[in-house]
Amino acid sequence: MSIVVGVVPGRDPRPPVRLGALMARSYGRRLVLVSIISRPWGSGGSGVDAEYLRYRESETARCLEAAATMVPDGIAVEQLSREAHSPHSGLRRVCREIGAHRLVLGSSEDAPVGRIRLGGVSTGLLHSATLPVALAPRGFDAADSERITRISAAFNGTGTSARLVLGAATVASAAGTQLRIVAFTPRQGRATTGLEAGLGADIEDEIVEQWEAEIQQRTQKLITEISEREPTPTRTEAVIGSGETWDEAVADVAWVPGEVLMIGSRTLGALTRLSLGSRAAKILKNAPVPVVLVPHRAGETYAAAADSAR
Amino acid sequence: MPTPTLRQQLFRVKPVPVYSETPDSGLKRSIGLFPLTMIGVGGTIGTGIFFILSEAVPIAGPAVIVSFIIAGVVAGLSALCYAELAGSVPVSGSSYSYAYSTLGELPAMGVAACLLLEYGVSTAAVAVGWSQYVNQLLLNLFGTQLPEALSYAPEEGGIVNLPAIILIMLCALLLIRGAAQSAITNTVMVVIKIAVLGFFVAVGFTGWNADHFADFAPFGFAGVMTGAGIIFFSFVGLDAVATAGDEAKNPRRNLPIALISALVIVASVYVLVALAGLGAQKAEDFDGQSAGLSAILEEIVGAQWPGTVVAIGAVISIFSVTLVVLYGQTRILFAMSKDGMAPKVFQQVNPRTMTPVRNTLIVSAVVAVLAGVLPINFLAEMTSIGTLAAFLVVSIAVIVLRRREPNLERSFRVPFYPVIPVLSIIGCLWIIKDLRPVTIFVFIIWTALVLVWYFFTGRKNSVLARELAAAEVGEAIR
Repeated sequence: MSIVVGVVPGRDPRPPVRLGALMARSYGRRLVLVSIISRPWGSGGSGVDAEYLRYRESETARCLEAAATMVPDGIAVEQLSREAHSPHSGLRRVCREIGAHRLVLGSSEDAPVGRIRLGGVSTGLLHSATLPVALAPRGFDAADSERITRISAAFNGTGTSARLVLGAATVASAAGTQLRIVAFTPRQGRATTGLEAGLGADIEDEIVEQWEAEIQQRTQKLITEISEREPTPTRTEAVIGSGETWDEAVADVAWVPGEVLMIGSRTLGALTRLSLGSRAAKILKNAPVPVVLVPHRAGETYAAAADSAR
Repeated sequence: MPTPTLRQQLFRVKPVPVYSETPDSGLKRSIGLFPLTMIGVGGTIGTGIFFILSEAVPIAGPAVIVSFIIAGVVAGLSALCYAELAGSVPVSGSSYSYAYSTLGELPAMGVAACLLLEYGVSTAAVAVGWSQYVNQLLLNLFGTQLPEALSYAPEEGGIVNLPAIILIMLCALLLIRGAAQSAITNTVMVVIKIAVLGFFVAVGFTGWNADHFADFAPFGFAGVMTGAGIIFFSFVGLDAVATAGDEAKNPRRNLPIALISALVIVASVYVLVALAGLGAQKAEDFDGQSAGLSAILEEIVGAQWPGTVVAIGAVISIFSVTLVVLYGQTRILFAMSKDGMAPKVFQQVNPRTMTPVRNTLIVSAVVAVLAGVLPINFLAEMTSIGTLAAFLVVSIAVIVLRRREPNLERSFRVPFYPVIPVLSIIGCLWIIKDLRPVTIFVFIIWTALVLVWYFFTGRKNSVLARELAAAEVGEAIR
């Protein structure tokens, strides 16, 4: 099992490669740098197409070469280029063939430095991937010998989410790192006029308090459950981030270098994202650390790791 | 430990929580005079004016203008009392919370019974009004409308009011999702409402015929007062200004000004709408007219488009009103449930949506049934009597509190005490007296049911009771 890093010619490979290396070292895996060459439709036989394809091939080779130099010593690394109709179908196939453990991608170029935005490839993969996809924030870097210091697992109180947290606990235990369960309470949209008129402004605060109490109870249960397993993460804690907006709520919990955040992306479907934006999408947008998205189709496998660890 | 006597139980007062000056209070907003006025205007306009004329004019005749003024004055007096009560208890909340912190548990339950009418039943009433305009809009735009069986309550010749039920379900969905109405949405809604009503008045006056006022009060003063009772419904929401009081800048000065300004604006708009409507159409023609404001304009202009404009405006603004009132109902039950005064299910917050989902579903289901099968005039009257009774308790509370705790610090004091609270009490009673007997009867039964429930369940589940008992044990140990 290996960590697959997708690199794209013309894009800075550093953030995904460094994140891939960080994960490879922490999880004791080898690194596979993959670049996909999009094959033109109808597999062009004309000279012009062939020439363009050769140019693309050489670009890809150079890009993989450059990426390989960014991998710190001590990590087994391999390069691979493939032709495919689309980058995301190619990456998906490679991951399946080599039985990849994680797929690492960079952020879209329009992300602010230190933040993640989904690009075309990552969006496509989220719908179809059957393995967790790690996203490196724009400009991300890690020290040569750094390991993952803590895995934060986003928890929203549901059963699905709880199973993913247990999955993250297994990952954290295996990597010998800490686990932190994080829940967010943005008080966004607390009406200032209108809705709460006639009720007093504190009523929504009480709802949030009630929610926090509910979440705390459920996280406590999870923490107990995690502590009863073998092995356990080096430390397990829970924290609630609150603030007026998602931005503030995510910033409210302290983030440490070498931390990654796991989010289940069950609700990250195109429709939700297009219309109102799901919670997962909002956390992703504001996270200052690399994010491991566990797509819906990968969720069962991710959580099942926890079951087998029991 | 001695068991508290019944009297102690019924009148135990919820202590006012002590708020520290932590950064948490940084959340406090300060609302200036103009936004405060707009809260009042926005919360009030739109509740009833779109459909209340066809209910009130047949009862009061053209003298409905006087009914509007009487209802407005009583609402204003009560709102002033409301403001004093809100200002003497430094918690923010509904009149239920104020009553609990000043008068005690039993009166708080009485107020709660009224609030369930003021919010829950008014949601149903407003939704029924929405259905009329949706049908009008369907007719104007697509030349078809829902069959009568699916647009009216049984008493009005249908089987079920489907659009009203759909509206409530839509609002419930939004609330479950965590819909938030921002200050901007609120302002936009206020503008739409006033623009639509302004449009109605402007077009309506072109059809002016003074002859329509010839028989000004065909049913005498009693008719005017009964009309005021129904119309009172359309002033529901004015109390919102009072509860926003603890966030107001300089409440001593701004609160009464904002209340009175909002009242004057709202009452003027209503009176203008009534004048325009009555000038355009004979009083007899109002009876049973659905989507009244649209119908009147179409009559005057002889074309559909003005009716369509009003219908669109009404559909949008009534939607927002329904959302707000339904929201209010769920939050009042939430607060009651936290106190042990309503079943626990109302305080469960769904972790994923972060909203009280079950609460919202139960409330919407009940309201949807009410809206589906009850006629609008009954719903409007039930809302009115609930609101009037709540205002009555609030006005009495002001007097009780002044006597019991004269030195309590109040951020706002009713001017001309005791004249205003007394007038407010008289006004509320007077309007209640002229409501239909069935309304008063149902109201009494309802309040009695709530109090019986309290007696057998709430009184024992009271969170406050447990806290008081715990405090006593603590004392004893010490």
